[in-house]
Amino acid sequence: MTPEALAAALNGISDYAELRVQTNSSLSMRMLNGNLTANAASTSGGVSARVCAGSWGFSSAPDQTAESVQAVIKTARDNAVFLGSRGGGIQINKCGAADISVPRKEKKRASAAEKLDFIRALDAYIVGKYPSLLSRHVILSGLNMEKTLATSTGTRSHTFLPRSVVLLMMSAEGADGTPVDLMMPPYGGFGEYEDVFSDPAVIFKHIDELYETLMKKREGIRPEGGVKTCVLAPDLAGILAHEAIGHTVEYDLVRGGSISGKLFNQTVASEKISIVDFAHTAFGKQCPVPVYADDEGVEARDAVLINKGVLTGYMHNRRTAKEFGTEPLGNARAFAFSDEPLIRMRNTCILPGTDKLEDMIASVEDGYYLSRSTNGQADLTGEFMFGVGLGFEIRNGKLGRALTDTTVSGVAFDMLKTVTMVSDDLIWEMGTCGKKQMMSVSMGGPAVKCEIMVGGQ
Amino acid sequence: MSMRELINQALEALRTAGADRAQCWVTRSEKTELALEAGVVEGMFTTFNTGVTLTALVGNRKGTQTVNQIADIPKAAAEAVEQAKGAQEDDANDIAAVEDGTDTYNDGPEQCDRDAMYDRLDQFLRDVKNRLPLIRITDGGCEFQSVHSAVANTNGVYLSSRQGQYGCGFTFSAGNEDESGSMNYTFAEFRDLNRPFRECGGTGMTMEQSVRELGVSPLGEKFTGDVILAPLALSHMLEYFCDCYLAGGSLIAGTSLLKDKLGQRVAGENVTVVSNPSDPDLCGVRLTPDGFRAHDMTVIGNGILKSFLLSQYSANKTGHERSANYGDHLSLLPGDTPYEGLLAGVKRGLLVGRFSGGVPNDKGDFSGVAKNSFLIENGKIVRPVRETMIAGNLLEAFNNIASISAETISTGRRKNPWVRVSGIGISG
Repeated sequence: MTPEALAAALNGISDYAELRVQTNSSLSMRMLNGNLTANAASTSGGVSARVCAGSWGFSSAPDQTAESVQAVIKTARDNAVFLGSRGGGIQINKCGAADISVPRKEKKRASAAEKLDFIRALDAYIVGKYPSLLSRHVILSGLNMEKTLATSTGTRSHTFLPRSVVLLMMSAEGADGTPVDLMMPPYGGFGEYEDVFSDPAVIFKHIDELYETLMKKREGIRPEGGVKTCVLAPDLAGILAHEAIGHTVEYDLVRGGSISGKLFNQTVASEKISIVDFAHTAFGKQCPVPVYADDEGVEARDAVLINKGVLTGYMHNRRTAKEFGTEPLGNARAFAFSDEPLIRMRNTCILPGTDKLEDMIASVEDGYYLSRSTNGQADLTGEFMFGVGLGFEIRNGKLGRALTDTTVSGVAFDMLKTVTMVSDDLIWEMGTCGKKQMMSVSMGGPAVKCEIMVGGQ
Repeated sequence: MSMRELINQALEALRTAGADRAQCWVTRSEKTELALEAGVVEGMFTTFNTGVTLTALVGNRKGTQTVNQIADIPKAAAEAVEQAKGAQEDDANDIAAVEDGTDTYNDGPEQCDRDAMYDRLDQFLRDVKNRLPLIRITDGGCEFQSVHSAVANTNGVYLSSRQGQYGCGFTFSAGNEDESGSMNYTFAEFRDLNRPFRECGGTGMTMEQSVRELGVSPLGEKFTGDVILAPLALSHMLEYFCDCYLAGGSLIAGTSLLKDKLGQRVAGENVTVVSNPSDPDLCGVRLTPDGFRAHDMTVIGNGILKSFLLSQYSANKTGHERSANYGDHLSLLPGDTPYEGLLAGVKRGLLVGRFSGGVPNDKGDFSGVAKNSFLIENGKIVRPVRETMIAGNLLEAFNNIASISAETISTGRRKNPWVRVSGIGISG
């Protein structure tokens, strides 16, 4: 269905309304020790309508016929009216009409067999070169989200957002005979399989690095627990931006009690820290998860969250923007056709500083260099936790022994005030955020030197 | 089109496309949801969906496609066969075998009582406002979901289940002018609306505890002590334990430290872990994802490992028996110590409401933040603590469970007690 056809279906509705047709296509191929444990693809699509008549009413169905479109509009409106009869009173910002078209690129597409050959080649390289490994996982995953949207405010958009990623994990027997594992940072990013991958040999050097690092981790020691001076590698700084800061400044969570509600225009971090949630372009390049229009039909723009240590902004949808008295910037995103838009991050990034990573490490007398986040969570208080899959001691300015897996934690707005150095480089990493619905996001960061609580002995 | 007709059409499409053996799952669902934002009912959602999963085996090569448009079934069947042809031969690939027993499960209401559901939620919100004015509900709400599933294959299997259930879930914290408390959450599934939501999934009790968390301060020390894991924290630890040591992935990878321990002691004698879909307190999942009936099972009985958690593929791959279900309802059976008795046994330690930690490594080492937690001294709760981490090893922890409470909390999915675990590293 075209945006114009969807817009026509909204004719005659006096309330604010959105109509979205969406299809998600995903791919999952997994090899575990050479066994193909997943060889699956899925396509899920349908139509959804959301109406605001003092309350939100939403409905969705897989059928995309004209009758189905009218049925979901009617059910959404009935739901809004039902709730409105019990209360209601929601006001929303009805700003601007966007006209956005970012269609899928026409290209010859690889067959399932070709994709399987690709991961087999990676697996064969690993087992051929490193036969003594205890286990090896090779995973190819892909997700394409195609959305067509019309809103009663006049937005017409058609967007296609693809991502393709290879994940590799190895384990080896540690010094005490128990397994030690390590995962490679996700390889890939924006684009379909054919846009991102070609020759598997390109990934071989990353496999070699993964193996060499795993061998160091085999000899790893447990870190000493407590507050330590640490240099967080860019991937950890990125997840810090997302989990510890980003979630606390999503305005639906601010309304729910997030600590950041009391900190607007206040200094919350070292002046070396600036954090931006980029919409689609950063530093002159397309971001890993480019969002040009959100699912409320708002043209996407960057949201500056922290500027030189001062909390300057929140992320909004139409409803919270109205309450806060600002314009929404395109953060309302829905994962599936059957999901309502929620306030979500897009490409959240700590901006690079001016320090060199080697100088940062050289400046630490007794601490740790930490990287490879395994997972992360944050609280409305700003308290956060990240699993850390790889780390090294820093003694007298030099990297020392590797560490076993650990966890770091802190209170974001306290911890960010301890940042004394920020590196001049930047690394983006793809991720999936799990706030009620899954969502593709990316996180970017330089390395940062800070004081942070390390879980350990 | 009936479920039977739809699934037969899908099987025929797979046969026509060239599958030697084929299996299909069909699901039709309808969900009605009342959604909260900042403690107010702001949205009502009604969603319908269909899912058709087509699995093709060509020889012993396997491919799977899932679609939600009936018109896409022939194309998806052809693609599943193509996928299978590109895959490698693997003797462990198979489809479900015909078993004796019930073919159809029917559980819970068929229709949502929208007005009654709204009234229950409204009553709950008023109740929280009156009794616990410092509680701020961030989001959540309640829902009714009706799911009709069926699985069939070319061996002649046909099983179906229809399940209607309500659910509620809330994310919340306590707060006042000076302090924003730590977030916590509860959720529960149930068949009817007979009970107030505050009585479901320990919601009222957990909210009361959140209020007591105000005035929180750092622990300020490091020691090894006892930890009382509340049911939600225990549930996470059980999940980690099974993923790490008992699930197909860790057995196929060869990384499980318990891979050779079937029939041997792997936990304390007081530890019995079950997954019982027929438990009347639970909304049991009656079919496994690979097309078998889900039966009750004991995973660990009095400390002895009775079963791994293995699908048909994982069982074929490892040479062990397929498990009776795959752990949807993991629950540790209660003991006979009252909760107060558990507390009384702690000289110095923590009551951990929730665990927010990194995924344990293959060895089972874990570390993470003890959320919604309290310092215990000489059998009494002394004060709430923040920025406090706990660290240990899963295998050691399940061998160091000193006592287990008689009380449990059921989420409708799992039912767990409080447990006292010794020898946990605590720092903050």
